[in-house]
Amino acid sequence: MNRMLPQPTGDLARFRRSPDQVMTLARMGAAHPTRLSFLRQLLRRMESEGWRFDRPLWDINAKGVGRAVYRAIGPVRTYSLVAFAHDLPDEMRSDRVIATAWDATFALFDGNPTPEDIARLEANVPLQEAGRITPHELSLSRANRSVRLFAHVVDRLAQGEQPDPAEVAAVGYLMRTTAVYGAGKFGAADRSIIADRPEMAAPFQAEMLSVWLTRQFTTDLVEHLAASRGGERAARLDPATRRSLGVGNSTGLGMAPFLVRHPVLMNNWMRAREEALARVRALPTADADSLQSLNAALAEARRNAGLWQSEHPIQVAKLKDLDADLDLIANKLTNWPRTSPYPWDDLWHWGEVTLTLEGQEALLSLMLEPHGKLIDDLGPTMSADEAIAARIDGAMTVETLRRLIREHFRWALDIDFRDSANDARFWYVSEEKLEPRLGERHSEDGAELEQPLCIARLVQELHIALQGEDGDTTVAAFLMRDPGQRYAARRVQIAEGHPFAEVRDNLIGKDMLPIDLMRCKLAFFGASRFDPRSDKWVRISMFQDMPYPDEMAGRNR
Amino acid sequence: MSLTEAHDPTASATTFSEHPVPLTRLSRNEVETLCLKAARGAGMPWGLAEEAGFAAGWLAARGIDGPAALLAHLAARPAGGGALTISGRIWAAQDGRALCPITAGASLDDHAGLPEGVSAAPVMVGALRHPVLAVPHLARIAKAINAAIEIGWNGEKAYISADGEVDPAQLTALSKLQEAQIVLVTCRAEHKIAPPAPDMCPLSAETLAGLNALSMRTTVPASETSRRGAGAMVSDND
Repeated sequence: MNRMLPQPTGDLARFRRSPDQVMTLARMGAAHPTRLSFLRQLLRRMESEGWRFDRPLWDINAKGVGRAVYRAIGPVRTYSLVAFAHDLPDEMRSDRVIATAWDATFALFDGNPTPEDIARLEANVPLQEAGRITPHELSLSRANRSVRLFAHVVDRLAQGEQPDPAEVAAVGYLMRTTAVYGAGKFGAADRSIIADRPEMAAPFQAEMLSVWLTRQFTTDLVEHLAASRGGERAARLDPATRRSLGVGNSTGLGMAPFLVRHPVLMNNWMRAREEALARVRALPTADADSLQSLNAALAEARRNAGLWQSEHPIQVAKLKDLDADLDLIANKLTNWPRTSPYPWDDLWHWGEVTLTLEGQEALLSLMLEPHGKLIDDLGPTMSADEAIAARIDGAMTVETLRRLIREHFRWALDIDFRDSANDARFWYVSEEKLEPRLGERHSEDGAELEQPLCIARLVQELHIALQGEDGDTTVAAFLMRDPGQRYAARRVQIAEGHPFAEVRDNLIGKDMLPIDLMRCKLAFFGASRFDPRSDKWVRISMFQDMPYPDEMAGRNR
Repeated sequence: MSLTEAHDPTASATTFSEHPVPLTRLSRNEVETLCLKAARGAGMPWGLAEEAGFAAGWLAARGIDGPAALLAHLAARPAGGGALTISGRIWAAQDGRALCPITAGASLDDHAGLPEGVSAAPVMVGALRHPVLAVPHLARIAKAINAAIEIGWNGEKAYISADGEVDPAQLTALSKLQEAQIVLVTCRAEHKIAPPAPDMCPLSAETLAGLNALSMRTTVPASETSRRGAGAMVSDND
């Protein structure tokens, strides 16, 4: 195929969204996965590089207790998921990070594990946070069964029947992970050890690989248990049902601060996505291929929306918006594109004035879908080499620092923190469970131990502290006198050159919803079926409707 | 510069106290995070506590027990102390006591390209507590100004290459100092020093317990309200 790829024309700047528009909690809380999401990047690479997969160890008894190893064999390196299956009494099953036992536990091993490696992991991985792993491991995780669906599927398969499609659709997964720890956690390899590998260059690739292989494990386990119970009579999952099963994930408030703690990383995620949108909007044509691909993506989005269930009032309202918006988009596409210098930009502008935030962000995802050749190169740019304490530019003058605050933190200066609704909460770490929590500042103790997550207020305080300073004073001299402002000064300096580094909203306001932060992060992972269980707790699904390892063979383009 | 892209989907903390073993090997990410929290727990402002995490992680990655040095420093760090004053080429504490090596290291780094800084002329710093804890920032300066730096104390010397590495034997010698006045001089980049192999200095049970105890001071005791709000509010057995 020698057809020229249409290229964006003109200056991309006019097609870019501003950080003020992109970085609000409400819009972040409407984020949808895109083809740049991390699990999509993983699958694309493994497919194009022709990775092979096998299961060199399956030592699981009829009760579902034992161990298994899954290997992903790439052109240069091999990664192995080492899985331990347990017999967990119902009363011990908890998705909270404070749980001490799980239905299954996992580590992603860097290479081919020896029997000694597996024995070492067996002594530690089932303990999760209370165990230790080593730089040979890239992730540590665990999963709990969806009790109802897991039992139903095993029962049906054991009787030689397929599970009830309604039951499968209502849950969507056999197990849900309740934590997937990577990069240096509990002794695992630091990010720097794997960052130079092309297959690990994009964010969270080890974690995504671990979860994807876990999905295979969950379907193998139900088929194994059904065969143990039903013998000859037992059926295997039919491919379509199996395809519709993902891996669930259950996560709480602990995930919410991540994006605030990693400003450069968040900037790079957002910047890549926004750059992709700008490139598409700047295209001069919408050809038949891309139109067909767009319509296919819309059909898939409508099918997914139809299966997406939640009982949480906030999400119920959003799903209603989404359904209506997808209908509007479908209707719009019946007379699009019209003759225009920038048909995709026209579609985008139509969406901005017509759709809710939910629909706008869904449209973004749809518009990126046909344009892999144009935007997929942005995937590896989404990582960041973040130092724990980025170097301060001490030679910068106070006047310049003030200017940066005015340019990048106007939204922060505009919040009135004297209003008790605007400083109603505080983020802290609980002594009891060492997990991040949100307190009520005006009725609970502990605000003096607040975590530095409300960047808006910290930058306001810096701005005030700078007021009496001479403009020519250096930041070095200012911070020597006032070291308490070092944290905020660093954030301000990071903002220059990283326009998407900050959530441009009040993170301690009375009505702030932590799930908005979580949805944004999970959408970048590639998670679907976002289902809040409270304003601080969500379930999602990963890899639903995507291929399994054994379905990847022959898909090499 | 250290790389810590902490891929922690839940960001809940490691509990080290459950490992009563003589030595524990932490990842650099864990060392940095634990030391950041400990420094904050000991009363450092957040921005300096981050520098403390950086310093301890940099040293541990070079086989030096920076976390133990940091713990020793934090345990005896005078409250409210550490304010710096510069007069001519001499950096010292305002109250005349020995300087906090984190405050001094970070401030030297901030001033690297300024007239008061190391690149302009030799600097005398003193006295400095646990001088090895200032070395990571000095190494960062050497890289930033692309010049080698010589650290002198009590007639001895250590050499930081222009790419920010220190001879291991000299770094070990520095780590033995409880307190010293040091002189910093930029010098011609004579030789390169290989970056360390990726291996972390293991921590003793005492160091872990001590840092953990300090880091716990950043946490808030549970209340009924906070316990109620943390979970899913519904059963996970569905």
